Amino acid sequence: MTQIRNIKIPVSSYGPALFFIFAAVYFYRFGDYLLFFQEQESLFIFSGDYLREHVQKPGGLLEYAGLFLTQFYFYPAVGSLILSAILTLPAIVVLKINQRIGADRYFSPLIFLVPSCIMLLMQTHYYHLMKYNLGILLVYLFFLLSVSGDRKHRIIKAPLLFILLFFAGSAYAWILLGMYLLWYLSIEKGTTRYIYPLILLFVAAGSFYLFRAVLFLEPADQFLRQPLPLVDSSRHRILFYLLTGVTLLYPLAARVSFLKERGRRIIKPVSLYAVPAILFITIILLFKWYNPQIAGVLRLQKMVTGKEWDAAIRLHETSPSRNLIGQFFYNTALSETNQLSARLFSGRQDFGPTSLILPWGEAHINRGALFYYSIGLINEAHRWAYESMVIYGYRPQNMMLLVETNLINGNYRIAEKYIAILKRTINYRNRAKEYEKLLYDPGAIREHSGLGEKIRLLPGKDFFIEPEFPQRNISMILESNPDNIKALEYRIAWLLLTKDVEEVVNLIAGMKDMGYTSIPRHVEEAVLVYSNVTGILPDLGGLEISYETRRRFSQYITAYNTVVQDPSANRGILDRYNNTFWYYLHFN
Amino acid sequence: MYPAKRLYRIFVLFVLIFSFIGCGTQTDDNVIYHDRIPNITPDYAGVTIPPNIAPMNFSVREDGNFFRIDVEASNGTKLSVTSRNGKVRFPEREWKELLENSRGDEIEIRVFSSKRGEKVINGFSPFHMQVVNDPVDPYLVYRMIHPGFYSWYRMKIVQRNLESFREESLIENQLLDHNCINCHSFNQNDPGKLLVHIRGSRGGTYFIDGDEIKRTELKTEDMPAGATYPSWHPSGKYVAFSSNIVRQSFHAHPDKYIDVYDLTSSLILYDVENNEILHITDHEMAEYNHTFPCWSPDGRYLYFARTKRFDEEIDAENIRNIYYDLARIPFYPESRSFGEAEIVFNASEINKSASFPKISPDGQYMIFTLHDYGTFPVWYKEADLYLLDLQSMEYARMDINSDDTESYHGWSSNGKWIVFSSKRKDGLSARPYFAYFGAPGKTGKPFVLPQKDPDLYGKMLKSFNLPEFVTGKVTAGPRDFKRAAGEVSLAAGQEYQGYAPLE
Repeated sequence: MTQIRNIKIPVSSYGPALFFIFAAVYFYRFGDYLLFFQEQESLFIFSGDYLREHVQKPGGLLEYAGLFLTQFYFYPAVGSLILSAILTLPAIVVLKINQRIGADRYFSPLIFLVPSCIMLLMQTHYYHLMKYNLGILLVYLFFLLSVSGDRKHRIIKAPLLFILLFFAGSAYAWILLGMYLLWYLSIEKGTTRYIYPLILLFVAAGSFYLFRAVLFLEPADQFLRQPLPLVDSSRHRILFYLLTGVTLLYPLAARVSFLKERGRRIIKPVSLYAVPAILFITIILLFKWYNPQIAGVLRLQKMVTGKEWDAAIRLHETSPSRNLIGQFFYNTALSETNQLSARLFSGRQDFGPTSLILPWGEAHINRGALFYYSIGLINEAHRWAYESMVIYGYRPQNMMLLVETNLINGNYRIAEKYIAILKRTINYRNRAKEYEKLLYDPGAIREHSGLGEKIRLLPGKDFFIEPEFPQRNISMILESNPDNIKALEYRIAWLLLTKDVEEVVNLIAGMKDMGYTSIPRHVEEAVLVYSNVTGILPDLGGLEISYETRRRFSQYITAYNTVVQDPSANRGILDRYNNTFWYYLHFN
Repeated sequence: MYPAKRLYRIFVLFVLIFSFIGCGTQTDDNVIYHDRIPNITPDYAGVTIPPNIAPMNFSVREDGNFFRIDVEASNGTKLSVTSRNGKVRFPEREWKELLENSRGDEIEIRVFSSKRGEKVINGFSPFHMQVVNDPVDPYLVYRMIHPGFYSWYRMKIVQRNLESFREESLIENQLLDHNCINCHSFNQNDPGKLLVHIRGSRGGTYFIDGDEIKRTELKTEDMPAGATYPSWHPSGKYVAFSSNIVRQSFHAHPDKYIDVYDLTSSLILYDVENNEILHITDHEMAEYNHTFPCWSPDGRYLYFARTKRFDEEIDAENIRNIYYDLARIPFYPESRSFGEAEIVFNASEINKSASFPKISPDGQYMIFTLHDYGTFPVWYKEADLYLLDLQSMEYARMDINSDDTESYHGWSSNGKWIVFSSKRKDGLSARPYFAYFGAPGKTGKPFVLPQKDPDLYGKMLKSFNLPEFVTGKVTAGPRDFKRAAGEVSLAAGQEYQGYAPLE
């Protein structure tokens, strides 16, 4: 027995370090999209009002701390380090708890990394926010504080820490309470075994009543479930329940598992390899659960948000997104670079015209404005951004869009307010200062590369936006401002995606007057289809179909006829045409 | 005040004064007097205020790291405050004393500023606040909302004590499944008699009568929509509502964001005691859309806005041809019947549209909002307040308007104060402004509701919606509404057992 105890297993040092390094590399190299997404979900404001707003409800402090840390996700390297550190801390705290409660040394390696690993796996869901990690971390920390120090003070410490956590972390306090109850019921002896839990239950019930009926105006849900990580994903929920189970039960297991010598002998060899094994399983699961589609969409979003249009186009064309939002981002990038009618089918298009204009609704409220902004319907873009702010609060994207739309519309006093908010952030302060220079200076705004172009796209005449039939807005803005080339591009794209060849052809006659020097490729393709079917060459308004497109069409027809006439022929011969309108017309 | 406390305050004042002297000097040689009043926000220079208003805190927008503000009443009462950041916050008790000593007179405010390391002190011309004898009602009730379009998340109705900075919630929608709460309405500024609509899963019209509350469902099959804009009959027995099918459309052109309009709207009378809905319509009136009911203080007339029904589909152009006139109809309480409608203000004649008629408590005047077209001036920059003399039927634009939207408004119970929503500060968020009403053409310069933090309005994005004066504190609170929301709502026409008591 003495021999066994002398064996040194320094997992306490290498285990957390290994985990930290691995997590940091993972988030920096593969999980960067998670950091971007979460950073975009909120805007941390350095102001007393912002703090007060969060302190006014239980769980608000946890949220505040989570938002504070999340803002550093703006820098992927810093974000990876912070997130990895937070995920590693539970492992260290559990080790400390094990020391305090006198857990067997062979038990520690089995368990101490498990909460961190589960949290790391939960973190692969893009809605697993920092506050959830902090909540679990606080539970462990508070339990550690409870079992630290003089044993006789526990009767005071535990209830006080419960109340504190109930205020700071709301529903996380119930997990802590569960830990306390199981711990006291199993470990304490004599009457305290029952008195401690009773006192705790009394304090918990009293706190719940006091918080709910007197101190805070919040619904019961805020005290019972918020801000637990109840993300709408079955895998994520199972992981959370597993984490909760482990959290509740492990102190007990730590104490009771080695009461028998036999048990120790069994787990000794297991414990030697536990840490590498747990890490290995975690790594396997991480990569198994890695979803390249979600990663791709969020990376597209990042590029579009950063106005890196060419990069977004390249990404979708090389790693096609099968997601509606992903394809919407691609189409937005094409619009911003005036390539919709020339390059639309170079990227995957699975959703027809829906991926041009996202429907109105909460699901798309954060992104749908991009279409309206791109086309010059600035009022409508403003409305989407504003509604997003009302529902979800300040977010970098909605705030910047509010600034830009108000600058374009000349509402400088309002723009100034939004700029003032952005100036109280770390990441967007400089951007706000740039905007600030444009305030009350219509000339500077007109000359601004981004904003000036939008001013030129504005509708000349007024009309009511049609949220139910968004495509009608394209025609109306085009009618109201015939020079709006983006509106024409969208109109063509809409017609191509709805396979309305005749209408596309009818638009060509006016294209030269709008500044086109050649017919965009997909429009040429539509013309050739039209001519092929009707035998009529439409009025091209002085422009010509290129030789290259004619040649390709001829080749496509040959290949198409081969495939149609001979079902046994390899359909793959048409794959080289999958970036054409013809292919979309026939096979989508 | 306890002597020790007083001594302590004198000591603090002493230290402050000497620290100020340390920053510059007080000799006239070192003071540069500027022949202008200082820049302050909110603009409180020259305003007329009631004797019971909370401290008129403001921010000085002049260069400096140290500011001293001397306030003096005509009887010699003085008040001095200092500030390092330009935010001027007057102590409530001293402020109250100062105003009490200045009734019917004015107070003079002098601002001095200095910069650290410089010996020069900047002095500015004094500005004044006129303190009248007529107090304002002690409470103001308003809804806090984002001046948005479709969406909301959190909203609340709050009551603010105008004599201090105390603000309490009356309703908070997070306790009501985040339902929309709107159109709070008091009977003659009475805090014990009010109603409020809630839309959604906890929907209904909630009535508070003294210390009882009930949830009702004021929608019958023959109404075009639910009960919308309310007005209490002075007897408290009836409430007139308009019932509106409302639409909103969004403009493409940057000049305007949104239009809110009625497809149809009619007037109904709700008999509170009998839980009964009567229609205030006849064949002639069916030609019109009616909205914004408002009782005369004697309860003999119901005023409202009306327009000819518009059969075409409304678009961004033809909506500009919709004009609402103001009309009234006599009411006979004994028979609960109405007479013939008559026009009191023909806005369409001047190609304008009128809304929000509100009659002064003495029945002599009406304030209404006049705008270019339509029925929802909240979004119209050109909307202004007008005063109509109900005896002479003469009207005039009030001198309290700005270049931005002035829309909703109300009278204090003594008829001497007007509260109105104005977007003059930023063009988007409505703020409650108060104006003294001595007589037509004798309104005081309006001032915005004073706040403990004078910079609040500069930071705040939300609007103060539907400000209403109340003569006291409403005893109900958010939890009372939550409790009532748990009850089954009483449909109009149903018999009911009485009100649920407030706890």
